[in-house]
Amino acid sequence: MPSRRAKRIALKALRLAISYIVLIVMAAWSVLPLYYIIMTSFSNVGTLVSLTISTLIPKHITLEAYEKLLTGRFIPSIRVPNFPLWVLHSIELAAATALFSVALAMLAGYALSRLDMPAKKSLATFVYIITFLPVTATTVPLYLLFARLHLLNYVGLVLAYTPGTAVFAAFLAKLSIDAIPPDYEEAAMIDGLSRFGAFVRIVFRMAAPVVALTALLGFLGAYMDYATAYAFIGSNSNAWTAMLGLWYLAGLFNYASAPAYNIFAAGAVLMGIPLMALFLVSQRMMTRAYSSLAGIK
Amino acid sequence: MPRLSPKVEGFLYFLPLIVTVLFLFLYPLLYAVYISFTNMGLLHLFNYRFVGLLQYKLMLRQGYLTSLLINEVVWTLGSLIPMMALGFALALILNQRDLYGRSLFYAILILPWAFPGFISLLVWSGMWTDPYGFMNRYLLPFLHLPHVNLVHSVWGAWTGLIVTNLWLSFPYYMTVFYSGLQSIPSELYELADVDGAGALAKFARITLPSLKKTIAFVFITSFVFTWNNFYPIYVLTGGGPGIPSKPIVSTETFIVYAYQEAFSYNNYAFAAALSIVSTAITMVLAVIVLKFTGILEGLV
Repeated sequence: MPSRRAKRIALKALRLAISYIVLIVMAAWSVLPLYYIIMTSFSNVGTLVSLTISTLIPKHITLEAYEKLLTGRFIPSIRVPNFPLWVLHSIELAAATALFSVALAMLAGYALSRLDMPAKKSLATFVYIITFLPVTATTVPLYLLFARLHLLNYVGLVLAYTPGTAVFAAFLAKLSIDAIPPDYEEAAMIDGLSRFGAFVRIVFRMAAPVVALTALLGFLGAYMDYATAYAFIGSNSNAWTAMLGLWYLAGLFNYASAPAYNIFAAGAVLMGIPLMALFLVSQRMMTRAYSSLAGIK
Repeated sequence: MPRLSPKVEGFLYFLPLIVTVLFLFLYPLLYAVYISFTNMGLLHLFNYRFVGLLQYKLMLRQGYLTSLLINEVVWTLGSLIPMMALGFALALILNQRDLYGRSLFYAILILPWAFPGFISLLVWSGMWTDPYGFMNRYLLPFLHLPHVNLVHSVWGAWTGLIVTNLWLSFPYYMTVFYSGLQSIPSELYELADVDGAGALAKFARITLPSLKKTIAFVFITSFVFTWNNFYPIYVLTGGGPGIPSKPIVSTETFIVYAYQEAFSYNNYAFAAALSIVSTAITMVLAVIVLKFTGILEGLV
């Protein structure tokens, strides 16, 4: 029956055509804000008003905004170029958070996987519930307590960031340690290594992917935080982090005193693209980790 | 060194995490409960006194609680339903075997998820500016759509929030559903073809039942996540726009409102009370999630 075959081919063409239209529209929409900010960062547009459609056409590419971003002293009371200083602060905070998260998560993951302890299940459930609260949910209580304990500083920030990653990562570590045969540690312990020695030398090495993932999550969690940093150190621009700096550059702190808009765009691109690359590289690993936690494959 | 009993040793390894959680979660929470029974605020920063349940009564009496709950539901379901629907539709489209360039499209479509969300929100905040921002100046007029103003209109604020959140999050849902679709054995579809089943029948009899667990899991975990999603509202509307006759501004949720009461208006005691209520609600939701999904079964 040729007519039926023709109908099937027509339906298939229609299905594919609709699919491509949807995909192209969605792809354009996905890329648009990113393209827009990248093009703005290469332009000399100073305000949103002067940002027109011609900004988006790469005609006069200039690196002026990047130069100003990296050398500019927008806040006169800070004696060094502002943005690099803020980025440095973010890196310090994020690195410390990553370190603490790895240590805590691996220790707890090891306990959950290998060792017996009293009330294991209730303790684990109690701890797991915390993963449902984002750090922004505990910012107000932490602020009130830390104001009293004189911890409204970088130490306090690292303390505030750590549980968010560490608790979640402890369960990831548990799963990944489950998959390591205990024979290696037992053999090492017979050879005279203590359990802690075996944990540090053998389990850490064999669970390297989850160590890396935990470090990455801890780093990103701290690096990308705005709310807690603003609450703790927002009033001191000398101590700001990169995200507080971007907030200021975007004109959301005080629109009138903000530097040119293309400088914000340069900051957004310079911060956003490396983190995006990191995400894309680790995305497969992360998706696998999340779905192994969720029990869906 | 004397050998410790295994139970004690296990507990020692778990102890640092427990201490962290007690010191950085339970202790602040209890301290916030205490503060919520006082009148600590800008006027009474150091000489605050005990006022009993006043803050909680205020919350009930002035209708904050109902407004916040309504806003939460609008925000959470208003975001979640379009995000899941779009993610599912795109996953179905990408899952067609006779479609060329699937991996290319996938690589482009996950970019909004890959780009750091907070930075995206700062960019979107500029794009939504009315009338100079890109959306209101170019894109919406080009599509013959009305202006969306996030500052003056409640409708505009919700539209802007939900559209932006859709942009930020649809790739996550697409990814989860796409990998769910790919894990359905193709033999099932081949058998259905032999039986002469149509596309709709295959979708209803094979695709949906196979993904039932994934859909339920994604819905329930994302519900809690979106309920507590702070940054979109904080950056784009700041809980606004304000309505003179109402006690609360129109897109405020618990977590955003508690933050603003503390750090914009310095009403620490009221902020503490809001945080306590918000945390309690999240705990209840979390227990429901754990019961429903059985996440912890395989973990402990």
